[in-house]
Amino acid sequence: MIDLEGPGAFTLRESWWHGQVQPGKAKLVQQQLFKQNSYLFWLAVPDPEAQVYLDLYDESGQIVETEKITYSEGKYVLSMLVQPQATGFYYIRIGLDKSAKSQQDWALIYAYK
Amino acid sequence: MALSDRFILFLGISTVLATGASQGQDAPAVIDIGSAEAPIVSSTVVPIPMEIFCALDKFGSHDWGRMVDDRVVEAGPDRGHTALLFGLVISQGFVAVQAEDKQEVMRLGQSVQRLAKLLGVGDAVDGRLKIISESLRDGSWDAVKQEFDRTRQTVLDTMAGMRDRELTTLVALGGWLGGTEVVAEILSADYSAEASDLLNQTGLLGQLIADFQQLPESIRQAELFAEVGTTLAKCQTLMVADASGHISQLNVQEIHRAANALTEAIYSN
Repeated sequence: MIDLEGPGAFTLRESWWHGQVQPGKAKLVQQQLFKQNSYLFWLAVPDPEAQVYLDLYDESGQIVETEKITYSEGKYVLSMLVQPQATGFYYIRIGLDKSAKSQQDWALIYAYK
Repeated sequence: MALSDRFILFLGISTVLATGASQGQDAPAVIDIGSAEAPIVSSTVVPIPMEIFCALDKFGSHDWGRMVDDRVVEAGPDRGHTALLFGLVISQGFVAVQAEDKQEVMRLGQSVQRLAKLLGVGDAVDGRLKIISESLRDGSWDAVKQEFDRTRQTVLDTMAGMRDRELTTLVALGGWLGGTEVVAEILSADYSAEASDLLNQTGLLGQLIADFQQLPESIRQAELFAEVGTTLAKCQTLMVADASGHISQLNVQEIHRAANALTEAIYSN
């Protein structure tokens, strides 16, 4: 599902977003998505004990169903698979659980196929 | 090591624990866009033409060879114009990659190198273009595609480091324009209501217009850039989908006319 090489692989974009987020807080990243494409987003923070959240909303602010991919390494990295039902502008909500010990730098990258 | 490389390293060694449809523990079903609860991150990531080409191909095959553009690339009077042209040429590179036209990719690669030098970022892209050339020799089109995106991003990052923010906006605008012209041309010639949805980009246009309006007034008032502003505003009104989620054939044709006229103006300036 997360192949970045070979037939049917996702193509990783070189552009990315980053910033800082406080424990218990969230931010929104805007992105144009195209129907028929699949998108994979990865969110990560440096603290392996921290937990991040990743969700998708449409232009009207309604949550969109996505598939989450978690990793055995910890909850400080999370992936989200998106298959948009309509082309449009979406909002990716990134969040840091309130249990995090401190503000975290975050980075969000994505791939498409 | 670049952040994306670190992510790839992580993906190479990571173990997927679980997958499933879900929403975050604290995710509300509805959010108020623009509220202080979750501020919007201001940076714009414009989709590369390859993303929309990838979606368009799922509606049916297209003759990408016909879309390859052999317009002569000549740098214009100032760096702003060169930045717009650079974005356009990169988007044409993606078309040539889609068409698997080696000769055109090589020609456009040379144009990219020349324009990058004029923008003061030539050294940053030389290595990338060498990889494109090697990948072409090997027939590795996926690698060529990836390197075109890396070249584009390298230029944007280098410009940002040089505090040339207005130029990064213009490179992104040129890239969006080139991709839009091609997609609108394909849809004008072979209209499909379902595929017309791909031009539903009013939100993205709003962001591009906001970025454009942050350019210094001295740039925005020059004749060519005034045309950029007018075209963006026109496209925003034309890219509104109807109740069924489609954009009319007439609007698609108008989008193509507007994008084509601006592209011609940039190439001939």
